[in-house]
Amino acid sequence: MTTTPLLSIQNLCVSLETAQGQVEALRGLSFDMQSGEKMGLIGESGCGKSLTALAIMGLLPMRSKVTGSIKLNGTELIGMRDENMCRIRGARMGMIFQEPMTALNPLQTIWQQIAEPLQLHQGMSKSATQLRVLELLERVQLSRAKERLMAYPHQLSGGQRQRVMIAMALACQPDILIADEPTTALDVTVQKEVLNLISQLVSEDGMGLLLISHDLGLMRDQVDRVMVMYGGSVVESAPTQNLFQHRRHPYTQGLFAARPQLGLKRGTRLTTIPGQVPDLLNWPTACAFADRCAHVEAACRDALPPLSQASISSDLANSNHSDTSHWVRCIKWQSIESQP
Amino acid sequence: MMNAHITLLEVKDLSHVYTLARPSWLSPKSTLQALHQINFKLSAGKSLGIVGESGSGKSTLARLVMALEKPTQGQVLFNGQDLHALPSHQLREIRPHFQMVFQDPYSALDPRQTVLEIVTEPLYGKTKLEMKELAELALSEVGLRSSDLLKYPHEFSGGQRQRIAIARALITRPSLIVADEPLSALDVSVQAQVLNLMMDLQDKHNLSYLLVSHDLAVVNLMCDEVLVLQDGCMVEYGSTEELFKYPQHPCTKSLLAAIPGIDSQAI
Repeated sequence: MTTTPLLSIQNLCVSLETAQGQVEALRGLSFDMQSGEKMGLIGESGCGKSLTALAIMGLLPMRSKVTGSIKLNGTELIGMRDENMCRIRGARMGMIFQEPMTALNPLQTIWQQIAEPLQLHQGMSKSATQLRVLELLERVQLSRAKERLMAYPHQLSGGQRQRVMIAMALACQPDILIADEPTTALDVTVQKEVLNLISQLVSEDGMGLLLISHDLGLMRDQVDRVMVMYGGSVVESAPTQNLFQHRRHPYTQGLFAARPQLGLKRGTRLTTIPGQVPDLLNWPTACAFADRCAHVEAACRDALPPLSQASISSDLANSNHSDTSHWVRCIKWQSIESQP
Repeated sequence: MMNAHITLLEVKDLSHVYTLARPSWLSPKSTLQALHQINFKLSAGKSLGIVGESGSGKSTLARLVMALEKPTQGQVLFNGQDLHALPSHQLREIRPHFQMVFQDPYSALDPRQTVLEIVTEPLYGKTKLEMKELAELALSEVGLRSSDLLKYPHEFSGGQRQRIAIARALITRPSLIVADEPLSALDVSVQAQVLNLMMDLQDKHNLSYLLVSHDLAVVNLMCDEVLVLQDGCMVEYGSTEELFKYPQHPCTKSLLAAIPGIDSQAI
């Protein structure tokens, strides 16, 4: 592709320092995101989803080692000086955190918190910010926004707090929005409202969206492309529709099978993935999923399998979708039947 | 085996009102009607799912059934005995028959107790040896090893902790387990393992579950009947199959429509 992607991550590796020594938490992550694209990152806890978000935002814990490249509009973010990073963070990249109660400052009114990035990045005057904050709150559909300017986070419900978080993330009209499990703390009905709101705002502004979640159903509604992570690397990446129709990687297949669905007969036992996510300290060096996989063979334990491109069903290849490639990190993907 | 149609739990006309703090010391105390006239019956070996949005009174109902709080009005009959009318020593005697599994397996286990101490805590009047044997049995039933008995909770993953919590509930051989969102803190693949375990244990011991959940797919899989709560009121109550196929109340419809990945037209 000739145009520079909005966000380009190449071979990102992150290792964290723990009491037990260095732990490789991200192992060679690569993907490109175009502006206006909605991407989803899915996986179980401990597989590196949130770490990816933190790495992009430059918020990794101190003394973590990062190699590889993260480029935003062609600018390299890794190794950037802190003061330059501060100018980008919040201005060009916005982030919505998982738990709005802990992410908001309980001692500041919501208008002060939304105004902070505006004053910091755009040097807005107090009166101008007040107008802008009100505008933002109306945009995120906070009811009775004007009366709530002076409200503290504890006076708002979970869904309202998450709307405030969205307003903060969008305040400086960033190019990319990262939402790390934005709705896990919310009710199902509120969850749908908040997700639809994020989706609508992202489309209006033509931002790139990176949505992190462990909920497969939610991905289907919200994103164009899903990346499945396991063991610090992407094991499968495909356009959403394609992934839901043809799952290639054994882990993806296991995840889908383990999900209870409406319409199953009462008492049906779910198919589970045997074993558990290995401890970060003892990741298998080759295919991370080898120990839990039903299709495992000796070669799986030799080296980390490369991402290989799987064929695309014809109906999707013909559509006008920008990127229809389907990648899978498994040496046996051709012999494993894709699951509808 | 017990007769499957014996009513194990009956909730009659149950209401609960919380008194809130005064906004200022001059204003009168305000109250919150958390539950309003709830009625249901649960047969032995069957499961009832309680669904609703947050704040609809699901957890309050679970706490009242567990006799952790006294209701303002109404009765909770367990095997025909009104839990809230019993003197405390008698209540303590029948408590082993109904146990609870909590939402967050991280905060539900005492970090300073070993698994043996955690799992055997509900037992009393047993020798140390008996306790250890029962604990080993309970652990093997939930798929953990007896070598795990001397470990501490931090050595286990979330799914394993929830198994320990289930073992603690099982050790007294209860006929009813009240589970308040037992899966929501767990990962997808672990959820499936714990869900299968709960269903296996139900078949093996003829357990009844009172399952509080916001995940309708889980309720659909585990429960024979569903009770939908909205603002403390029962808005719909019936067999799971019927209710999910033909939801009547707008609240049930909106809950079903909010399941991610579901075509709202399909309902």
